[in-house]
This record gives sequence, structure tokens and C-alpha cells, in this order.
Amino acid sequence: MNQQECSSGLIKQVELVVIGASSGGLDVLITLLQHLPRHYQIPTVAVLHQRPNRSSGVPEMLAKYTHMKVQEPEDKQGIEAGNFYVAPPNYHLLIDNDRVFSLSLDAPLNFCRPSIDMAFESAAEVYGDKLVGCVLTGANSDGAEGVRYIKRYGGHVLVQDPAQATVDSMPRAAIAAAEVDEIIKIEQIAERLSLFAEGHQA
Amino acid sequence: MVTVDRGEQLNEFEVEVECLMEALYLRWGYDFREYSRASLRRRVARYMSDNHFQRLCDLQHDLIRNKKRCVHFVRGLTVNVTDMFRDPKFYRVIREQVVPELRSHPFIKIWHAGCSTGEEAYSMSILLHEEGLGERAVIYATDINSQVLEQASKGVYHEKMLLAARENYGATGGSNRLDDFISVGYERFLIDPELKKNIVFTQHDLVTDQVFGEMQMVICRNVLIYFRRELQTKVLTLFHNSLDMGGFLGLGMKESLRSLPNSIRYKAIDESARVFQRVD
Repeated sequence: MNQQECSSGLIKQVELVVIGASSGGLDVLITLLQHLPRHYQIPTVAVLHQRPNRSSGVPEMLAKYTHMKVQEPEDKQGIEAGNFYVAPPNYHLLIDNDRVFSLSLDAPLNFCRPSIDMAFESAAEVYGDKLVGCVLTGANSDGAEGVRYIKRYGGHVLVQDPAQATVDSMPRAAIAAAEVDEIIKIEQIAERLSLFAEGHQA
Repeated sequence: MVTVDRGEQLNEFEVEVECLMEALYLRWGYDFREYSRASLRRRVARYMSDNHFQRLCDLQHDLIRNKKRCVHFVRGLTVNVTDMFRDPKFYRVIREQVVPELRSHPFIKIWHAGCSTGEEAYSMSILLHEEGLGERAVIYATDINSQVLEQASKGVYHEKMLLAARENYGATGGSNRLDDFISVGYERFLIDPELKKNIVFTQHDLVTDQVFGEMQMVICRNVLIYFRRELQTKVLTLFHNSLDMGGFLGLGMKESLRSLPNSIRYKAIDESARVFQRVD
């Protein structure tokens, strides 16, 4: 619905993309990467709910579909263009004022660690209106609070069409929580993110 | 819709948190000014909601005047939950690659900084006893928070932690059973008092206190993640100055030496387990 606003440059510059996904999230992230430019430049952070206590293998899996550098960030690692970051399992992933990752082992929030809400909130505090948040498939309501936060700070929110989501509770909760900018299929989310990247290079 | 240009500008809550940290330092000497803001702010917000403070200025008013509030708040800001033998791989590397080197020392001093409620200090004590080093090792287990140290020195934990503890222990390559070192009952488990004899629990603030001299090993896991890079640099230097040449440094699984000053070098014993050795 806001396509014109976007392409006319209402959001002038996007400096970070954060994505929240849960059940069915890995497949959707793969689809997203398949539809993004292989050398996508805007740093992108995926917060994916995973089983704790084991090495996830998720970065290796995703790396097959992109030329971005896919990695689990370490604490205080700087955020850089051309990187796709995956939140390490069993840690909260936050972003500090100087645009570095900050990990936390604080208690799970609403049973989630990493918590999408916490990642969204801290990203919004640092990136303000230069942030895009995406909520994809998932079986809980994590991310809804965070979406509200992103909107409060002037960021842009894309939500996967609940009809397309493997599990629709998470997109639905996000849509109910705030006036999100667009509710679209994953392929269109990729398209939109590509568009933002053109602004990023300009 | 209001768009916010973030720049350097802090919002109301962020400004209040800055004031609160300044007040806490001026009044009681607790220095959180160099803590990572992302997690610190969330802990402050959590503390306020758990303790029914609507406004941060009310919390600040009470904190400045009430020592008990201060102790309680500091606990809220600093308490870290941990498990026995958390990250078994770390203990496996200690067992297989560090212990053989420690054997050559007649006396072994280990500093466990930020030990919280003590689970990992006892884990190390168990490991050293198994490897026959219990008699000549001392573990100085420190934390900023006096309340958790009290809990730690009791060595009593809830039974619900036991399942993970047993599983973790099994993965560290131990030759015994965890149950040889604990007694279980009344929904609790108790660490064998024998294992406490070589642990000294004492209060220490990494930000404001001094070095512990001539350690063979410093362990500080999942504490640095709550610090800004500048403070990480300061604390890593503190560890370096506390370590013997050839001494070992153990960090949390997502922590790194990226904040280390250029003048200091370590050799990775096992990069993925975050076990390093001082080489100069």
C-alpha cells in the first residue's frame, strides 16, 4: 500500500534490516535470499528462534544462497555492509549505541532467547528511521512489541502475508500491534528490500 | 507520523538512565557507566517493572537515600544465571589441554571473575579434584554482588538444575558421575563440602578493584558481554596483569579478544572454546 511512498523516497536511507522469524523461518529466509541480489549491501540481521545448546549450522545453510557474508556475530562485533548476521542460539542479540552487536544471557523474554522484541527494540533505538523490520512466519507473538517500537522511532515495517506464512500467528500479532507499512509475500519483501538497497548506495 | 533522527540524541529514558548511573557512582561507588547500554537499559526497565516503579526519578530518589535499595538494585543489574559445567566443550578443553600444563605447577591459583551463584566455580573444583589437582589448587571466585556470593558459598542448588548439570558433566569427558560430588535431597542438591575447601569466595568489582596477582588461570565467562568495548579493554588488561606468563584465560563462548590492546598477545589453545594462553 505504501509502494509509492517508498519509491518516492519517504524512507531516504536504510542502514539496517532486522528480520524476525520462528517456526518455518529457515525456509522463508532461504526464499528471501534467493530473491535478494546476491551481493546485497544493506547489513541484515536475522533473529531466528532455534533450539538452544547446539551449534545451529544455520549460517552455513544460508550461505549457499547468497554472496553476502553469513555469520553469527560475536559480542561487540561491528555491523558492516554486505553482511548477513544470524543471532546465535540461546543469546539475546542487541545493538549498542556505537552500532556494534551486544549479546546478553538475560532470561528468555516470553520464552524466547533470542528475543525478536529485544533485537527490534535495541535496533530501533540506535537506527531510528533508518531501520527496516520484517516479521516472517512464526508460532508465537514475539516481534509484535518490537514492531510497535520500530514504528515509534520512525522505521519501516514489512510483514509476511499471513496467508503465505507457514505459521501465521507471528505475522498476525505484528499486524495487530502496530500500523505496519506493508503486508506482502516473501518474494515482494525481497523486492522491497532490494529497492531500499538502491537508496543505500546512492 | 513523527520521524526521529537518532544521531547522537538520547531520548528521555536514555537520559534518565545516564543520570541514574552517575548518581549510583557518586553515592555508592558502583560504576556502571561503562556498561553496554543496550542490555543495561533493559535491565533497568525490567527492575522498574518488577519493583513497581512508574518513574525512573522515583527509583533514583530511593537509590540515593537507601543502601538496601542500592544492594537490591545492583543485584538486579548484575545477576547472571548459569549452570554447572555450562558449555561442556569449554571444560573438555580445560581438562584435555590446560590441565596437563597445570600439573607442572606445585601450586595452582585460579581466579574465577564474575562467578555469580558459583555453579561454574564448583564445576572447576570438581574437574581439578578428578584430575588429582584438588589438593594444590585454590580458586578465588569473585563477584561484584555480595548477595550472590552468599548463595554461592552455600553450594546448594535447586533440583531442577540437576538434569542439565548431569548432562553437561557427561559431555566434559569426566571419568566419574556428577552424583559422586553432590548429595541430592529435599528438591535440592548440595555440593560436597570437600570441594568447597579450595574455593575462596570474595567480593570484587572488575571496574574499580585491582589485580589478583600471579594466577595460572583466569576465567571470566559471559561477563564481558555486558561491558562496552573500552571497559572490555580495561578488564582484559586487568586479567593480563593478573596472569602468570604462560597462564590461561577462559572466556564465554561468544566473547572474543577483539578489545584487547595491541600490546598484549595471547595464543589460542582452542579458539572455538575461547581458551587462550598468555605468551608475552
